[in-house]
Amino acid sequence: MSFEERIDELFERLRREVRRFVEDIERYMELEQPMWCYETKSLEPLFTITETEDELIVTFDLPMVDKDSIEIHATEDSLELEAKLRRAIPGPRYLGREVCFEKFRKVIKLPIKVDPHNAKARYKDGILEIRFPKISRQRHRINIL
Amino acid sequence: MRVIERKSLPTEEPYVVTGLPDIGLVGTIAALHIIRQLDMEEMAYFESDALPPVIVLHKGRLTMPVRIYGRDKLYIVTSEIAISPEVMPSLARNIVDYAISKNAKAIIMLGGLAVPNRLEIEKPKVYAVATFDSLINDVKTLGVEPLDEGFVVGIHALILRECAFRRIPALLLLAQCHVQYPDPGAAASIIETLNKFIGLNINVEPLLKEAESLRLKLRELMRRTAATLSKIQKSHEYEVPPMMYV
Repeated sequence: MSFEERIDELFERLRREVRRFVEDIERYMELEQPMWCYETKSLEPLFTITETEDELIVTFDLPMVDKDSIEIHATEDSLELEAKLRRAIPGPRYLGREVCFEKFRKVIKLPIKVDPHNAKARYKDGILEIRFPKISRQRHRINIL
Repeated sequence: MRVIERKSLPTEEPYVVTGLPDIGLVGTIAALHIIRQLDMEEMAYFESDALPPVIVLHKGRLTMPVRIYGRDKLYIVTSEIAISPEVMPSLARNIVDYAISKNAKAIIMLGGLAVPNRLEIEKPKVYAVATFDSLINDVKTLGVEPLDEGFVVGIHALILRECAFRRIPALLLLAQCHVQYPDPGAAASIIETLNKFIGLNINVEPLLKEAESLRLKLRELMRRTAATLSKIQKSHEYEVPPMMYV
């Protein structure tokens, strides 16, 4: 292995370690956020984001929710979900008063740009799946005038 | 880490079943349901400086988060907190030591097998991994498929490794499940397999009825478990040589 290759490998390892470190910090910070909000009387749902070659797929776990009470709004890089619970869920006492949670609420910044107009959603067994087509990253030739 | 024992069952050759937080919380949900249905008693708990500083209150009574329940010929190990990768090796060793001290017939681990098309699956299938071929042959007759290829990661991998090394019969049952959402349907499938395998008669109907409320209650544990799993998978990903099948 040449000197340059060794240096490249070293930098690649360093990049990997830094990436892992940043991911750990992000994960830790997210874990420290509560999964509820007393002010809006809302719970945060579990969600996942996965990518295929041409789609971004976001799913939410929404137990105790009927399809008709789900509201989804999206832009090219964000998604907002609100879903009313079938019945209010009592939470722990907060500042001496009892609070009941009435809905799920979550705003997500999407990791890539998507086409919100052609998104498709389905709801089955309490799981909401939204499929966004990715915005094409085709290269266009630009002519110099 | 050590096991603090409060009580012991008089039975010979019991089964030691583990239902620990993992993919889809399948083991945890199954363990919780079995403990309730059989009205099992707390037998012991795990004590370690490496466990998070958490104590659980149930009906005003203090309990430790990682515990062992028992009844008749069955012990169940379960946890109400996510098991961090740092704690996994000592927990695995202590579970195997405990099973040996009880002269256990086998250690049976309940877990989940993540499948991307879980929404399309009405009744999750159950797969098995075991330290002895005889155990695999036994579960095959119950419609369980052996898992022939792949990786087992996390606490189950460590228990299997410890059991293989010490020649202890150990069986890992994995039900198809959601990766990051609590999956009571998968837990029901695995309980039905366990019913047939060790001759229990646990009704899964109440579990399926309260599935939605369980999914709601277990969100926080699922989030913490998913974070732990992602950490293990990540380091595992970096450690596996990419050409190992060539």
